[in-house]
Amino acid sequence: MSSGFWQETRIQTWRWFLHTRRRPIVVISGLFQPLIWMTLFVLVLKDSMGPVIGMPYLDFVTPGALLFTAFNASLNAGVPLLFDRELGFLDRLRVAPLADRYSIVLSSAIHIAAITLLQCAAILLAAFAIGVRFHGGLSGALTGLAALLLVILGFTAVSLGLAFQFRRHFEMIAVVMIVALPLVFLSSAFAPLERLPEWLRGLVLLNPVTLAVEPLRLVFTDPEWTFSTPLATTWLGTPTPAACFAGLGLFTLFAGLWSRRVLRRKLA
Amino acid sequence: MGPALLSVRDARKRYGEVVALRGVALEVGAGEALALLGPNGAGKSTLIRCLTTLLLPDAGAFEIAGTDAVAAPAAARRHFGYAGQESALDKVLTGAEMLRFQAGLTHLTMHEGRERARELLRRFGLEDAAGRAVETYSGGMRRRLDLACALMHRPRVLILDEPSSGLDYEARRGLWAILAELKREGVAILLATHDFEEAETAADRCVLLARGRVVGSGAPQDLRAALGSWVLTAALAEHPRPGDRERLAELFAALPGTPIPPAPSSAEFAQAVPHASGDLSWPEVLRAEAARCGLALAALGQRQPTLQDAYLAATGAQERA
Repeated sequence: MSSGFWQETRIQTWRWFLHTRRRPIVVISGLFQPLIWMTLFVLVLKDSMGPVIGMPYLDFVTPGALLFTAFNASLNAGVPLLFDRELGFLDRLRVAPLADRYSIVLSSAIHIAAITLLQCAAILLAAFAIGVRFHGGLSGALTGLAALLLVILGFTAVSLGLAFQFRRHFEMIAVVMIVALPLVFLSSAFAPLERLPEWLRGLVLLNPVTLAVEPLRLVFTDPEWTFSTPLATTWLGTPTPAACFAGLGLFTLFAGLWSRRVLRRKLA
Repeated sequence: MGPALLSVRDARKRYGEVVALRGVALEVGAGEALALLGPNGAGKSTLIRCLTTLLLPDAGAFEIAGTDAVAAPAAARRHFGYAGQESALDKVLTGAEMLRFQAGLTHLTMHEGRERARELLRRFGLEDAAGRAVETYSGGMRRRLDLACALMHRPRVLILDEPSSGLDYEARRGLWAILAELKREGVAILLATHDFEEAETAADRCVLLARGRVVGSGAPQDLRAALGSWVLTAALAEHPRPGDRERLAELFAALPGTPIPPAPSSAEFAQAVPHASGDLSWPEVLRAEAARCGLALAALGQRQPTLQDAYLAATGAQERA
């Protein structure tokens, strides 16, 4: 990558951060949404879930809330780009002598990753304040961070790819709304896999949100965790954190390749 | 005209069944401004989008400062600046930030970018507003900032799509003064416009485009002169009798010169005519003919041809073809 590519990536990332600083409501709402969900789920499910999951529901749901935050923010990453397109600003980027137009995507991904990790840190602090503790040690923290980053990068790539497929932001928002909730609720973010019917359990395991939340929850709650610890029993087999990371890595890789292809085609 | 910095040859573009460009050719030299005039749908924006690498043409050669804009679009982008119909500005940023952003996109160093931004803010009279968010800028200020961004990397070619749309007269005059300065610096300017005064004031030459074809080109004064010496105008009196309109059309058709299509709802006829050869002026000739046919005319006169007349005559002929 040339120095020109990094310069244009840096300046575009700077622009996104200026937006965030001047319009903080987007970040604040992105922070409150998972906290509200978390509170509601704890209030409704803590008694019924306790015996099934074998731990306080708050401990169980905190990794889910982190994943929900990362997933939600990433899936909406393409919306500002669509606004740029509708307002003609994208043409400014398209006629600029950019070293590589992938800087448009990379700057957006860096911004979303940074903001989402900040939101996750805020949720962690809130959870810590009400008694949730992390048990996985430094290696667990790094593994959890890796799972979050893969989710952020994968879904940001999907979102940016979609942003170049749609012409209007409301089309994309409609699709994101249709896709987002099923992906979250057909995952183990807020309820354990064991609560699902046998036939659905395997399918849910293929969901990238589940692939990320299972190892994240393990490192969060089990001080003895390893990459080969069995996570659940499904008709697809018994997944381990290593298998989950492999699946998640593949998803992120394919999402990145797809978005790059879309970008090349649409910005040619 | 200096050496050609922008040239288009045999440009062709089709959107499905609609043909937008049918072999357009033009050149703009260093220090020259060329106005692209044409009705909506004539192909102006398509041509500009092809030139600015926003759209791939079906055929044709597009060169900017000697670089093939189709084969090497990334290299061509280094040589031109572009400001579209709408100011493509980020309203959340301040004017100074917008220029800093543009400096980064065009790979200027931090120091160069800062210096260039200061210079452009001064040149475009935006120094006092540099720290204000663009959303607080007036339409004229946004246009100037947009133009400043387009000039950040000192391009040799400037491409503008309706640069003065939405501006008041003072702001338009300010813009034209800036374009004149840029021409003196050797920048080649291509501007698509609907504004005849802009074309007359800011451009050295005009290219008239209709239905994807060049239907006329030349300096504004040459286009006017080529049309004729006078434009004869006449309008029927109120409440004309059946057939009066057709009779007046016949009288005009019998005159030498080029008809100028009226606006759809207009009752006025106009035709560019040469110098009258006899003792009578053209209005006197027409008055006599109208009297002979029993036609009542409300208005009759002649005036100097304008660029708008030349445009209407050329594009109208194409529409009729």
